[in-house]
Amino acid sequence: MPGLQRCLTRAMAACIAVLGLAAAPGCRGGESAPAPLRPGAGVPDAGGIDAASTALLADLDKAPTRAVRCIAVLRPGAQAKAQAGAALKAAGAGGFQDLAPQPMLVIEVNAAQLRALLRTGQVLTVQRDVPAPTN
Amino acid sequence: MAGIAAGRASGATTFFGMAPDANILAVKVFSSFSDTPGNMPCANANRPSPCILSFTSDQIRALQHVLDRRAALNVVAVNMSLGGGNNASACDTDARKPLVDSLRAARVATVISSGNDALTAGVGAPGCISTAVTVGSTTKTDGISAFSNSSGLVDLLAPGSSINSSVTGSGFGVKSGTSMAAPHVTGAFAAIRSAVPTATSDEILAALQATGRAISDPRNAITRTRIDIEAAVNRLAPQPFALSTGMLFQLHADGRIWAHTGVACSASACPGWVLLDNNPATRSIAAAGTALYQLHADGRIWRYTGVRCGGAACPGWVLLDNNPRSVAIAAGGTSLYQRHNDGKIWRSTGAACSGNACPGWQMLDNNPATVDIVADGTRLYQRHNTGRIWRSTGAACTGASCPGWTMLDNNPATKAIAAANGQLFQLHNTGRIWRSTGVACTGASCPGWVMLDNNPATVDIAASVGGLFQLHNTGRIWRSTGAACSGASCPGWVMLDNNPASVQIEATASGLYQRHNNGLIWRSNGTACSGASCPGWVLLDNNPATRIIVTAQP
Repeated sequence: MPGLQRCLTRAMAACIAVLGLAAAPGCRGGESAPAPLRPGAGVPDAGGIDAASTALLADLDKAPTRAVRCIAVLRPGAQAKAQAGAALKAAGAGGFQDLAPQPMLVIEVNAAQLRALLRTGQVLTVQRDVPAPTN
Repeated sequence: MAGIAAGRASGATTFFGMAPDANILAVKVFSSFSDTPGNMPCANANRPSPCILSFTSDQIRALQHVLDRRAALNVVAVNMSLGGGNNASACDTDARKPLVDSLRAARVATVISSGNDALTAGVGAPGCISTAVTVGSTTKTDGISAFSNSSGLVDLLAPGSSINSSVTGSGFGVKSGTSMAAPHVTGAFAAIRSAVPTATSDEILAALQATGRAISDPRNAITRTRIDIEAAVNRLAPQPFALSTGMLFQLHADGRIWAHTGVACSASACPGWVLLDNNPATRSIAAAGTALYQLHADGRIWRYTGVRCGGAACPGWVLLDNNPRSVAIAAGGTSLYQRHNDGKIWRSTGAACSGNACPGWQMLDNNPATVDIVADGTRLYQRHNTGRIWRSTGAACTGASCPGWTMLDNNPATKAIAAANGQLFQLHNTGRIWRSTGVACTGASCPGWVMLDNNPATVDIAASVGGLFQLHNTGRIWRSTGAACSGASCPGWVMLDNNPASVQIEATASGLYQRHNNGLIWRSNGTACSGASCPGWVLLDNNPATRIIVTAQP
């Protein structure tokens, strides 16, 4: 990370973080984001919690085998992540990534897998992980 | 974007980013995408396939990365020139908000572009997060860029149309978008933090919002400020500028007030001026000692407090009065006087206004005939429309009775008076110039005057410790040697200039100044003309906006 190194060697100067393509002048390099998750598979069945999750479930129910990439915001604590992870595995979700230390998981789930996750009672909300463009 | 925020000129490049001494911590959040049947991420983002897009989850990781390293790297701001959607209200359930909040609490601003969909009642996500600093775009002429998303969620405006900066790979390119506006603000946070290290993100944002240029979006009438870094810095840490006796000031037609530092023009540059105010309401200024005052068209009177303007912000003034009847001010020594349109004359006690109450004034006279007041040290003189000249004894009025005046002359020909260094002079409409001996009138007899000149070409006189000066309608400027006339012969004058453009002279202990009708300001070095050659002048300014010059007498 030569860009990061430059900042470290001149720590007294103000530093600006630019989230982008990591081609900033004088600070080339940067940190790569994880690769997009691969779709999982499973069997639908479950209920919902908050309005956003409910809406997402309703949308997924229109095509029960379709999986979408989401961010699950969990209750604080390691237990929530453990229970959520176990529920996802049990429901056959292909994989998930931990956004530690935030109480969040990146998941790719279909309607049944999402219901299984919501049943744990450890989920505050689930939002689509929508890719956004530059503007 | 990094170039806009923190670019530094090198080689043939001569322009800089907003904070060229700042470092960049680059964090990759974008990935390559391609549309496939049933999965159209590029099309959904209105981009041709293949395209680059950024997952929210990757932005969360990046924000966490910045949060973790903020202290070691002295991170001031995060730039996010990305987003999409149409959010009419705050999206504070967004999963990125907790990190935006954590960064904000750690004095790191998250600066996000508002989006380029020309929305007039919404912005993209994550710009809709209420605790982010959301930035809309302006043009080079300070209009709203047509593409810029606009709503009450926008916090600031910055240039985003046709911005020339570094581009990926190498070289430079011109691009437009709120993606270009946001890094202007990101860099501004870094520049301001370097100038005011104790300022929090909230304080910097508030300073940027309170200063700068207010621009109204014609599409929805929402007004936000286009950032002005110097003004914001000045608001957070006011920049002192002390006045000195003998200092020269100028007032521009647009109300700007400038103090001269003593530096003369060099070639076409005249850098010797410091901006003290920029209020179009200013009608006149008066100076004495180390004090400067201004009178507004609505009668408000202000005293300079020693803080110069920073950008468009000029906080260095305290209100002394707000009476619409005030039409003139005069300063002498440590005293300030004002004249009302009904002839009343008031002396300031120095007390500032408290809200709308301005009790700091003592009435010295209430004669409707008064048309002019002139101050010199502790002395105050007034001229009546009858030509009578009076000297104040210093006594204030008691009710409607104002006995504190001694008559020095009663000649209807008097058209101007000038005072300095304890001496009083008057100019007649015939061009005659007289010096007072200090002897008061006895009844209608006023013998206390000595004639110094009798030239009908004289249009103005100026007095200072350095002597008496006169200006002719031909532009000629003369300095008195002090010798009185002998009969009709008045030889006591030395010519200093003969330029027809001269329209005003102003004298102070440090010298004589003249203003030309084209705005040029000159300082005399004391050298007299030799024949038609008058080389004794140094150029101080060349701004056509100059309306008047004023000096601070002792």
